[in-house]
Amino acid sequence: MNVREEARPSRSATDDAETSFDVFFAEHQARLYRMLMLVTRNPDEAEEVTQEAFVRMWAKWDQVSRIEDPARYLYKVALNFHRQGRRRAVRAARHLFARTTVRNNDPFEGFELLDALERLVLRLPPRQRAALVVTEYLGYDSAAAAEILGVQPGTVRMLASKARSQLRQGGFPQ
Amino acid sequence: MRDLKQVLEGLADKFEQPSDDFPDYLRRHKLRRRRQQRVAVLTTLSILVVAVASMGALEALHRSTPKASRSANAAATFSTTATQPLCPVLGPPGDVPSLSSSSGPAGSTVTISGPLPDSNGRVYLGPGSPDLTVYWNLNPDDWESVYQSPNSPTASVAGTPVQYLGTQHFTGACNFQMQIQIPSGAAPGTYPIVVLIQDSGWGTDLDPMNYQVVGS
Repeated sequence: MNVREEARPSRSATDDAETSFDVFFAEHQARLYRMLMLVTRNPDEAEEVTQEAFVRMWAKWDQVSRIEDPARYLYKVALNFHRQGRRRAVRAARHLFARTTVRNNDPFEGFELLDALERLVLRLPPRQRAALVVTEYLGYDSAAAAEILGVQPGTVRMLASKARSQLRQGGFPQ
Repeated sequence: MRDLKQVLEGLADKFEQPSDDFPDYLRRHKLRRRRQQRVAVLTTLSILVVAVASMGALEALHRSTPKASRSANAAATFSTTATQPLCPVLGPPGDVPSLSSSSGPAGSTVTISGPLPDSNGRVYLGPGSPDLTVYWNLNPDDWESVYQSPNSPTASVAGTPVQYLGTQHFTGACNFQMQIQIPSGAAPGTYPIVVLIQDSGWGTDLDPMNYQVVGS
């Protein structure tokens, strides 16, 4: 410890919380955003959910920082917020589609550099893709993934198995 | 040859967070929270000061008021501060419905029941008033297709059309129960039954159930 640090007044609990949160943020920001990109396929949605998840984490940081795996809680908060947004969007979409012709939007617009295998992964149904991302990309077992996704472990295994089967049918190597 | 994890890692690495203002956003949020905390502390102090002053006044009133009227005041306070009861908090698996019978002949009547989730999927606060709509053979992984392509939603069992089985409205309930009839023309096989829930501003699917049609 140098002289300047010794002379500095002792740090408050708030400062410590901010420092530990900043470290947590720096460690997990990019991975959370990328995980959300894999799940949502939408940069705006991924960014919004990333921001909101960290804001919610910060609001509860006093408690969350003490749990064993705060990152798991972060992913859970993010995917829950994403699901809420999806629910709101479904209702809005219902009215929209009732009035307009369905446009066949290309979800990969702007991702021209993706190869065939990557496109195959992004074409999976949302629930299957989410199960695969949490188990394979984030590396959680089915029990932890179930907690993050808010479903039963059996449902996670079923969704991941369906996803793998669909990938194999699409030409993904065994 | 890349495995699935490598494909996902490679794919994820292509996604860079586009905006640089997120740390600023968080910083602003933290500053706002500190301001809110300061305001909360000042508000609490103010309330304490007012409460202490009020207690003094109440004490004076207590000494000068007959007993019967004091108990009436207490009853009135209790009734106005009573809160609406909350539904039980659901742990995982949360909003999982169940069927009274998971197999039977076509045309059978079965009952679906389960807890009603709120928009968090965990705590139902009531008094929501959702609509529950039930579909036969709708692909649970593509349930949005009933909204996006109402005339040709995605079927789970190929060659068997998706059928609408009914809608029921619920108000202020923690659980639901509704009767449906298995389509009379359904061929033997296993079909999903999907329940969609819609409330003001949101909608989602509950966990799908399977029903096995056996020969009559």
